[in-house]
Amino acid sequence: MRRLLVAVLSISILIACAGHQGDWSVVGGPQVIENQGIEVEWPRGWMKFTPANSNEQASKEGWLLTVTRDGVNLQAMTLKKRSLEQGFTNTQKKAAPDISPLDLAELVVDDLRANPYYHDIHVIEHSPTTLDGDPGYKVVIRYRSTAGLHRQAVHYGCLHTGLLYMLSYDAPQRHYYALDLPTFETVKNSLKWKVRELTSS
Amino acid sequence: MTGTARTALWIWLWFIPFSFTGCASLNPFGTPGGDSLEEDEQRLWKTVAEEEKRLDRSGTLYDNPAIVQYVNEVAYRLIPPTMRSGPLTVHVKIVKNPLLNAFAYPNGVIYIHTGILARIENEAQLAILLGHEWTHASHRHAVQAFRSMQRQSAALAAFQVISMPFGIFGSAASALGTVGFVAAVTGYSRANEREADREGLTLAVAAGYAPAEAPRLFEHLKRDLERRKIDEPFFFGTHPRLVERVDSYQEIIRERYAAQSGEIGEDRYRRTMPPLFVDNATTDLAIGRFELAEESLNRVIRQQADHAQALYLLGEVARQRNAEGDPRRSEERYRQAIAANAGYADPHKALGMLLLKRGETRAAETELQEYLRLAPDAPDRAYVEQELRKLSRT
Repeated sequence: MRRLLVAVLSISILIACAGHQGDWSVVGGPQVIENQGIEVEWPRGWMKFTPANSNEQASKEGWLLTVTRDGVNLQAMTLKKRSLEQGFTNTQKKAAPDISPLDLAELVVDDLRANPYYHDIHVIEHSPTTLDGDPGYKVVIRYRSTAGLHRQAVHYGCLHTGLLYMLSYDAPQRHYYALDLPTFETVKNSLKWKVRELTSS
Repeated sequence: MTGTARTALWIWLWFIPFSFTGCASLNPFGTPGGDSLEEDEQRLWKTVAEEEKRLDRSGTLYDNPAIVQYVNEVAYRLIPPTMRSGPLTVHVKIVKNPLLNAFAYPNGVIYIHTGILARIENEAQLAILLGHEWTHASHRHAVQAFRSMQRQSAALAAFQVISMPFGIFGSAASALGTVGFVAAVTGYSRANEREADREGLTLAVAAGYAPAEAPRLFEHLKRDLERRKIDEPFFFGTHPRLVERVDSYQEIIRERYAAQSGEIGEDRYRRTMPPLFVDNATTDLAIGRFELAEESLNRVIRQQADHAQALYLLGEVARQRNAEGDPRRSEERYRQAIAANAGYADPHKALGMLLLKRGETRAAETELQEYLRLAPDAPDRAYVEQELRKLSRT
């Protein structure tokens, strides 16, 4: 019995600690994201999660970081960057290097539609925009999470130096979405390209 | 901790109380002495109730009332009257998921994916699949599996769950609870699966369905996987399990039903299911599974040649696939969709964008304006207006 208990405890700890997933730190003010050719001003006092290099899922998604004040389930601003060859996480479709922002946005929505964690997706807005002068897209969606919660998200994105940059804000539709949307728009407007000619990630 | 690791840990902890549980054989429900639940089985059912609640709240359930009712009617027809008043619930729920999957909870509730319903060819095949799943519940395979896994080693089970190669859509599997995960992903023992084949087919034949449709269903699914050169994460999406089903059903038919014919119900299935074929094809299209989307949509067109949405989506398949001859095919399909329903906005925009890329600016302008007239609140209005502004400057 004692041996069984020890085995259960050790393996439970092993599972819980399997892999270092990333680091949390407090943010605020302009931040140049190391080696990514981008500067963003995050809201002061919020917490930033940076996935570890060993985090395979993060690498696959091109996930650079997520910023939140009260926890990622209540509000999450996420920045991702990936090459077009890398493709998307859920859809098998690929983007051509000369893809228009309209078609790019459709791919992003398809990627969400192909994600089993997103249900009943409704596109509320799908419009052209710019990110620090580069033509891009803005997509606002409403969906239900696997836990059954109604959530809303706004996704900005564009191609810059051949790479796809995506900045999103996701929160429960009730109360929280509207609460931090202006903050997120300020963050989006603060985004600046630090390297105009970056040829590789 | 990841969802998968959480599942594994949960399975691990769940098994501990079973270390002290006996492994007496269980009579199927509906047989003398078979309708009472043992202690661990009661716990299992409580877990199942929670898992079901979570699944039902998740927004994954397909809610077309006519289709849900039809599938439940087929299930109801299968279940002998003596079983309908027992502890099991005769209820089929459809899950919006394009992967091949169906599974039963121990309380009799069956979950079936839109993906497998879109591949099934007729009502007899549906009945055979539901009969198979119902037998897992009526013959109490879930509690047997959990007891047996505990005996073999809970650790092994947990680590198999962690290391299972899910593929890109496999996260849907980890969204299931523990019991659903075993029922839908790993399946039961070979003996239990063969029992489900045999008893399920008995139910289908007793309800008047043609037994020969059983191997045809699984042969069809097997060929589908072979052509796509991919295994899916769920039980009915893996090649070896489908080969087993084909062999097992062929053997049962040879032994018991060699000269038995029955109802196939192809017309009824084809008449009822087109909305599901279209919805499932929309998801396949989003994923980029063009062939599967095209097949489902062609089934709809064969049933109803002027189905505007199916025609438009076939145009989208061709446009997005962009293989040789696809640009011409997509234009043809968009025009057919408009001819079928001139008030349907989406093909006007698609055709407008296609003509725009081809440099036919005036014709493109007309289509895009028509799109905005038909869908004044379209979420992508700003894009279309931007294109129209550019066109007015040329």
